[in-house]
Formats: sequence, structure tokens, C-alpha cells
Amino acid sequence: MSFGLGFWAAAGAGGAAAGAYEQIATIVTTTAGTQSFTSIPQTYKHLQIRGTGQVDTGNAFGSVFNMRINGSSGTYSTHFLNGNGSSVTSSYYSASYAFEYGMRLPGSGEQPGAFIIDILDYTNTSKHKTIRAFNGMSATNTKNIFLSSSALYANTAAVTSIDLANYLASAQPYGRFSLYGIKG
Amino acid sequence: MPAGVSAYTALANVTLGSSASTVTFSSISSGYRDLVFVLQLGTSPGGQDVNLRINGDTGSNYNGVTAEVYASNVSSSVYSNGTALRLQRQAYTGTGLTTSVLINFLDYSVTDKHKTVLNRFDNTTEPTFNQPGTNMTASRWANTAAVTSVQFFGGNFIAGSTFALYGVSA
Repeated sequence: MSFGLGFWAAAGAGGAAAGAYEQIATIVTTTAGTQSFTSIPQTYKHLQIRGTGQVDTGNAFGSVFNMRINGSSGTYSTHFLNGNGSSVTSSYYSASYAFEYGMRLPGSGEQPGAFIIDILDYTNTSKHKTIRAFNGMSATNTKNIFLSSSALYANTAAVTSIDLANYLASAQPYGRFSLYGIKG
Repeated sequence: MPAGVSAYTALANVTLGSSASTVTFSSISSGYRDLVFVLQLGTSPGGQDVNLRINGDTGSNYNGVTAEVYASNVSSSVYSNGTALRLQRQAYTGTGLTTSVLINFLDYSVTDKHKTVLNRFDNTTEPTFNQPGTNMTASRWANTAAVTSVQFFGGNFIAGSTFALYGVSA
């Protein structure tokens, strides 16, 4: 069975009515270093970050996909489950200096990794912040699938800024980080 | 795209009235950044790999890494230079719509990078052999072209199976 989407695509591209899932900001960059979302609106229930990129040694927070909330560098407890093509491993970091949302994924040229990160109840000031991530890459030189890395950000402050480590060599394609708000 | 505008658009929602060996979405607009497919399905006979192909490409351009669990066993494996993107090996879905699949195409419309696909495949039927109950897979289509069509195949998708497609703006 085949379903052409010309009609639906045209309608969608014209601009949908306001819904429960809204874009806040997008960063597209070829610059190595830290990418930041600041002054995050406090008008949603949850946040989601979607994107593609590569991480190698030399980034601001270490040699993996890492992120920090509100600039904090010492309160992340992280569990993760990782498949590397031959085995599945799990581990736990207590009070790490950043939340690891993916393994080191150096990629190869035009072969990026991809990630989806959810930050739940990010404005609630009576709860610690819970984060979950889904990250993977199937590049020529690196294969990893990384699921449900969850972190307890042991702080009840509302999330107002997010920093994400990013490493891109000049010859590699753009890294992309998009932040969305989910109403609730 | 300005903040405050809906970024998640329903593009299509298909329910099979009868079984089908393939389901194809074509003429996909490049007006979004990501695509998300949400499937609820059953396949017959069981034990078939459930796959997809992009833009009709039958070349050896699909690679992936999987972690999966069946019963108390966990494993991870890769497939390389395949002729289709594998969502699940040896899917066993019994006689009902017991399988849910969530597929994310990241940066599907840009043309400077290969396409990375993240998917979860969850099966609630008790396996009879070593069919995975749940898996997660990262796949790469070794092509920089924008994704304009996606075809699902693997055994027969039984009547009542649903295939929903969303576009995510950025």
C-alpha cells in the first residue's frame, strides 16, 4: 500500500495552529565547544532537546555527550545502559560533574550521532529534576546505542539554562540542537 | 521558526483495512527537521525481520547497532552494509496488534550528512524462541539525500495495523 503525502505536507508547511509541542530555539553550528540555551521560558511543563552531532575528546565537559543545568557542575547522579554492538553494559555515576546523555561518538565526516533528551517538570521548584536521554550512532568507526540515561539533578530550582558539550572538527557537517517546550 | 508556534504536525495516519506486505509513505515534504513514525502493528508469519527502506534505495547502504532483551537475556549486535534499515530482527507478534514502534529520523531533510534513525521496538507477546521483547536501535542510511519516501516491509502487516507520521519543525 502506498500513501502520498503531498496534500498533508502542504497543509502542515503552511503553519499549524498552536499546539502542545512548541519550538523554543534551535542552534546550528560548526563550532566546537559549549552550546547554550539561556533564559528558557517557564511556561511549559516539560522540555525536549532533539539534535545531531559528534563528540570527541577536548570538549568542555569531557569526551562524551554531556550537559549541565543552570551552570551547575556537581549534582548529577546518572544511570545508563549502553549497547556497543557486542555487549550491553550498565553503570552509575554518583554526583558527577555533568549529565551524560550519550557516549563518546566521534563519528566520521558526515556520519553524526543523534539524541533526544527529555527534562521533566522543569519549572517545579518542589522536585529534583529528572532527565532521560536516548542517543545513538552507527558510524563507520563508532557504534553505540544509549538508552534511558536518567539523572537526578539534586536541586529544586527551576531550569532556566542548559549547556551542551559539542565537538566538531571543521570538516564535519553542522551540529544541531533544538529545544522544545511541551505544555501540560 | 518563532517560539510559541506548534512544532509537531500530524502528516498522515493510516489504518490497514486488510493485510499488506508493504506500507509506503511517499512525497514526504522537506518542510520539517525531523520525522517521527508511531506504529502499532502485528506481523504474520512471526519471526520475520521488520525493515524499512528510504527513497526506494535497495543498495547496501544501511548500518545499525542494536541492544535488545528477551526474557532474562540482553545482547547487542550490529548489521553492516544491509539492503534495508532493520527495525527489529525476527519480530514475533502473535495474532494481535501487540507491537509498538517509535521511529525518529533526525535531520531527515538536510543534505550535508547521512541520516541517523533512532528507534524503539517493543513487543508484548510472550516469545516462544529468542525473539526480543524490546530493543533499541541506532541506524544510519549512508546517503546525504533528503528523505522523501519510506517503505515498511517484513512479512505481512495484519489488518488493523496503524502507521502514523509526524513532522517536527526546527
